[in-house]
Amino acid sequence: MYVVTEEPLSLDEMLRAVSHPGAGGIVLFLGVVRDSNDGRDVKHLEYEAHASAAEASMRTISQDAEARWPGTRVSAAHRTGRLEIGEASVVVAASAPHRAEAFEAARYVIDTLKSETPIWKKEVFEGGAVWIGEEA
Amino acid sequence: MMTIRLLFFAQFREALGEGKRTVEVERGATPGVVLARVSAGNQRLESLQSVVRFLVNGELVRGDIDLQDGDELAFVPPVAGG
Repeated sequence: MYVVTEEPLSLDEMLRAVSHPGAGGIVLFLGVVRDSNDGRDVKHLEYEAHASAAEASMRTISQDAEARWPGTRVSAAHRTGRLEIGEASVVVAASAPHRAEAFEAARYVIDTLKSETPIWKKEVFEGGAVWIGEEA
Repeated sequence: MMTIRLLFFAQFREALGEGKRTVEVERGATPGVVLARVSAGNQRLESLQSVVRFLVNGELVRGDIDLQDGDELAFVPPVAGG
């Protein structure tokens, strides 16, 4: 499953999406809002997406991972809207017969998502706000 | 003339005060040309132009392609998912 949603992300659903009898290793990656960035005291984040294009992007990236590491199964979900410190903005789940491929596939998917998927993040910090990617 | 549906996100949405806009453009208009027009007079958007990419009907395209009547064009400033 490849989902962009305003609702809190369900780890159970993500695990179910990649679990199957042949999967001996499952990696679940969560990207979580943290309280500081680049020396700034972060208050909260606001995420925005071109939802249909972002879901298509996550699907393509996941399928690329499954092709690159045969036997893996990948699922990805991203949340939009206002997120507080400690909340998960993105979840990538990857399963494989063995753990090495599950780790590699999950890493590849989150790294690629961060550079390609049409999702934007506004960081609201003590003293102002900035769209990440535009900051000096 | 062609009807193009524009989608604005992030800095574009903030600077323009709207998330979408329908415009009429001449045949042969490209995403780059439409971007320049939308950004004209707005310093923040003009300074972003060189790093903006384009999604037409959800697909990433070059800035010099020919738009078609009814296309959806989204401007993509630097992404920051995850």
